[in-house]
Amino acid sequence: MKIRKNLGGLDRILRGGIGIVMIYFGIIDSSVVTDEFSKILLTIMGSAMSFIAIIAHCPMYAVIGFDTCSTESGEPNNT
Amino acid sequence: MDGLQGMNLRNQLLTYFGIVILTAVSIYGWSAYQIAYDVGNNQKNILLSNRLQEQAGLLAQVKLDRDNIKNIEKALYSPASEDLKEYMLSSIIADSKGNILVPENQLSLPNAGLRTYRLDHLVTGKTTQGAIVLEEQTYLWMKAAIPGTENVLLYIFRGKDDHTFSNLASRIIVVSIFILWVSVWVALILATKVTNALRAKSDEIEHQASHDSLTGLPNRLWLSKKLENEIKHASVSNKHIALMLIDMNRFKQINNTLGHEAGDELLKEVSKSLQSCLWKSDSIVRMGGDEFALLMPITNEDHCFIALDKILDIMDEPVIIDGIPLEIDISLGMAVYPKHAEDATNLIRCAEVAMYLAKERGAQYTIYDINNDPHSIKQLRLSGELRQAAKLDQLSLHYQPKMNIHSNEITGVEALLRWTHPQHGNIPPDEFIPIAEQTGSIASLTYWVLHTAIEQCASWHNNGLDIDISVNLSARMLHDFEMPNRIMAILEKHGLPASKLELEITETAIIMEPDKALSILKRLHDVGIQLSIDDFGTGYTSIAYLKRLPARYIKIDKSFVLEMHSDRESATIVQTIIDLSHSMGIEVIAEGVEDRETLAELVSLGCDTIQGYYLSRPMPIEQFETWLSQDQARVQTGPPFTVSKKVISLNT
Repeated sequence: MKIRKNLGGLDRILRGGIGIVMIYFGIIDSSVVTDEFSKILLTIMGSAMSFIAIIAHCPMYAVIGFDTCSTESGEPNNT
Repeated sequence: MDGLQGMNLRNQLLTYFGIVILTAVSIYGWSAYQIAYDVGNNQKNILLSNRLQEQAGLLAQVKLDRDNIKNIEKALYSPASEDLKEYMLSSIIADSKGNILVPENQLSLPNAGLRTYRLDHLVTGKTTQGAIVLEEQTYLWMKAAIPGTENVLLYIFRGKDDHTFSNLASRIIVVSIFILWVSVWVALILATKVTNALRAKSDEIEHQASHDSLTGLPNRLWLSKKLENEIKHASVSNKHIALMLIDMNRFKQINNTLGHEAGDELLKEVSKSLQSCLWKSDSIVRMGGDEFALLMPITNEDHCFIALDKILDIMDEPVIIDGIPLEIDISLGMAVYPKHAEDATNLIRCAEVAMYLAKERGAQYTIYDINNDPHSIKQLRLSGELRQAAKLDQLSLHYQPKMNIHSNEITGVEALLRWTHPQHGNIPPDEFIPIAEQTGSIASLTYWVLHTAIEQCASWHNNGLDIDISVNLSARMLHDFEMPNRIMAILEKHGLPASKLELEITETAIIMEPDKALSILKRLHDVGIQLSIDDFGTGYTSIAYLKRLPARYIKIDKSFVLEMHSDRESATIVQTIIDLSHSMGIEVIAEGVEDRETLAELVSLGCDTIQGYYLSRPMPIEQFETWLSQDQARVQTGPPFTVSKKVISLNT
């Protein structure tokens, strides 16, 4: 199954970073986010974002026809 | 063009949505935080403080010593403040010196540090509330004096409550982020959907504007744009483009006979047939009505003929509509880029010109030729110069003699118009007559010829030379009702009897408007002018009509005479025409006699008069008169003839 890349370098880095931070506060560090529900939610969001950053394909981008891969200005429009 | 507009619209929508959502979420998040804070602190503090005062008041009425613990606890218990129990850690009563009345209350505190904490400092101190920080946990206390005693009631309760507060805060923050994320994507999707829908709508409208609804083919607007594009490509890669315009003849008839639905069906079938001839790079367009256009980029100029053949083949096959096989009769005009025109508008125009020419001639196809284009710059200039030609003495008449076979006499002369253009030299009548016809100067030219010819003939008569003169009449002249009168006037002016003038009209000219022709020819006949039907055999006159025409002569078209010798059919046709004409009392003139054998055969078939190169080519006046006087010298190269004259010498 061919996955079409539509995330450029900077976009992926930002998403990956945010995703990792989210996972960190979701699973590892409990001081900032203390209640279970939020932690789970945060972990889910973080994993999703990291995964998308890894495969360099955001399905939402695909829906709206946006692409930061070919334009190497690399500024992400939205998370 | 539209894609870009769509993009901007979408980006605008995105930005707008994004700002709105960000603002909303921020407001929500901030106010939620505020609430959390309030819940966390102030409310709590106030409620606790109220309760503290209330309880202190209650305790004032109770004897405070160890024996009275039950009553004390009753006073400390208050159902109204059950909800504060969460925060309350302990209520401690102490005397003014700091001794705790019920030490168990302190010992029951959850935190080890609190259990061993020196609370007497707090009790004896001046401040009424504060915080105890133990191992990064904050505990708050407040005290109130029990009225009427020197004892103190001390509350210890949870401070800046990390658990509940941080739960709430973190939940709010995380949920806000989540909502933000979701909202943004919802906004993006909405925006995209809206712009997609808009774009689809505008595409649909554009498609309707540029395509034909019946056949689904693009229309002439589309052709112009497409042609411009193709020309750009072709000019870069040095290729050619063939443009063909196809008009269906008799479509109106079919529509009227079989009905409009059948007509529509026919159009659809024809468009399908044409589409089957196309290659990938070709395009077909419905120009409107019963006209189609085919655009074919070709590598080589000659390839257009291959394409042409293919199309003519396909069009030869009948189309079956409502069970009736219909022959499709087309007129096709073809123009090639860059040979005929260098831009889209002109290429289309050239193809149209070629198509109308094909229609006029009844040909299946015609390829554009600048010489046949009445609107080309060259033609425009020529037509202007033609109008001036008479005044500028560029016009002259050449004369071609006709000989009667029975008497070997030169009985008549055909006057032919010649134009000597200062730059182009001799322009053949085939070129300038059509221009004159299309631009309306044919009448003045004809009258010029009539003047000159009649004048010349009259002069010959005055010198004793008794020959007829014949002048060609164009089909357009049949619309001139004044013509018979005007010609009479010219004849009278020069004193030439009407019977000496012969007017030649082509068969095709007559049958174009048979009724008009009949009436004018009758009037001319009544005036005494002779009439001959020129180029006979190339049209399709009915014999019945022929009988009604007041013609004196029929001139057999030269194509039959030229082929008489080699082609049996042509010989038969000539014979038939001769027999037919004679049976109706019409004399026959054979044009295009070029050799002795043909002459001999015509003699044997009973032809009356001959005209052609064998006798003589058309000659200017001086040459002609010389030729006439050299009658004996003609024996070597041509047939012997005599000229009937009363006086041999001619005045020039």
